[in-house]
Amino acid sequence: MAKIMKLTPEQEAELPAFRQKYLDIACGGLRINREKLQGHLNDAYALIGKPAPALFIFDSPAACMLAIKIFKMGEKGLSQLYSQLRSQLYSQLGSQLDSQLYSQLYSQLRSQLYSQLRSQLYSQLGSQLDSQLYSQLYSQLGSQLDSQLYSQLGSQLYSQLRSQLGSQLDSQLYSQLYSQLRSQLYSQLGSQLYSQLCNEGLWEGGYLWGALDLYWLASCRFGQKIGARYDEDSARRLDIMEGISSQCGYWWPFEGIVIASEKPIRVRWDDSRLLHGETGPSVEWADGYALHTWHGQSIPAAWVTDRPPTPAEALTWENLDQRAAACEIIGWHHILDEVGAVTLDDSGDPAWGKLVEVNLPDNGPQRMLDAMCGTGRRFALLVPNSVATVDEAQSELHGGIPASILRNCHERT
Amino acid sequence: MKFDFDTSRKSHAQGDVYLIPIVAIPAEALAQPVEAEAGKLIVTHSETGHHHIVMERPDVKMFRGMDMFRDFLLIENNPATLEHLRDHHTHAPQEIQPGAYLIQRQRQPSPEGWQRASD
Repeated sequence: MAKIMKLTPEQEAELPAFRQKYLDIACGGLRINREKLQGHLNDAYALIGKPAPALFIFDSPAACMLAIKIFKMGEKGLSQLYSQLRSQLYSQLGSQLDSQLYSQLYSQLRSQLYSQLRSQLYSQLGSQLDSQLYSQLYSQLGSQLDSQLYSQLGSQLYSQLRSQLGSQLDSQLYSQLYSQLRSQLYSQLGSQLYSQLCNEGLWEGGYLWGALDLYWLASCRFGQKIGARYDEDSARRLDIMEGISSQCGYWWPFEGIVIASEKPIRVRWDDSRLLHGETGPSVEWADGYALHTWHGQSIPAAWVTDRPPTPAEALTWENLDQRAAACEIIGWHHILDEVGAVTLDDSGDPAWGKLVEVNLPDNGPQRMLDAMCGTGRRFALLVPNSVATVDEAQSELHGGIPASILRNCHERT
Repeated sequence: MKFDFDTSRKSHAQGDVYLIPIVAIPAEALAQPVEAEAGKLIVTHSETGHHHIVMERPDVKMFRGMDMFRDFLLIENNPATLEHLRDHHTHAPQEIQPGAYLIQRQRQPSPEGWQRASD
């Protein structure tokens, strides 16, 4: 079969909608269809000669990890069995690896097992598609979905779960719950639970599997749609993986048991497709577990729910990325008041503004244009420290256009 | 792209965008028309969806400029209205007279260089 060299205009036009379809599956708030998921899992287990697993569904990955830890309590061998089974399941699903294609195409894969499954499909896809087309497809579908589903959701979730399941369980289970118990029972149960739940690690991530895999599954599926042909075995594996990944947010296979998480009920993005929630969580699960992010930056929940940061907190927040987010949330103009900005030049026209200099913690002097917009709101705009006048600042903010041109304004709203 | 300012006409400023009169749309830009989205020419894109727009019309055309900060707008025959799509803190609409305009969007410095001022 001749290689497919490029997309037709119609196929190219289909890409955004195709990508959106998978985003909607992953982030559209769909609940698990138990019957369908059970069927896909039965097929997956059958591939490795295992009986159909019992399926336990929880509302969030956090709840799943708690459940897994509870299942594991007192059964030390289960952890090892779990990892062995997972390896077996995925190596069988993935079957043979085209190592040459694998090494050429994916130098930074999340894990070898993960790649085995993926590269088998990709090897067939790649052998039928021109390399340029292959790259185009991957960048249009794979990498964009990757950055949204895995890089953001995956890593945000990873870091949040790790920190919250550790420290929050410490404070919630240990400090709060058991503070109500009698002192002796408190110390005994508290320390015991602490050691089991926290010290041994609640994080059951390893590599999370589920809806975030849709980014690469979409690439495989689109290749099939435009004419690539997989052998029967691979096509069946693709169906199974897509079926499982489309149903659940995350899943963890065990001997005879699968723990699966529902997908988020709501995901909010900004226009750059960064997780973003201005008045609440950016990601919410049905049980209340949530992520709070500001343009992709993880932030404390209170900042966008009930207690925004104060200017002093924003300027001295230890994490620089979160500090930047805090300043955006409360607005630079509030901060200027707080830090006692020094005026270097004042145009006398609030709309044209005044040039100020502030001394930001860790950043040193920073010049800003303090101006009123047409809606009456005050803005503080970062400008290069090289500017000395308001006119220069306005010009710099508008592409170097002379201030005389900008000031010759009919209307400013 | 080369263009000359038309200082006989005044600019319009709405939020973080200027419409600055120019003598003519550069020839290179004329070859790169910007398509309307749902009947709207998006003069400045807002990441929160609060775009500054001009309604699509056969005699109102937008052209791709030099970079993310600059595009061009051509209004023929009758005035057009520059609108801000937000139901709170709305920048008041402005009537824009026929003519050629540079769309100049606000920018801000960052460690990575100049970036679009986002709203």
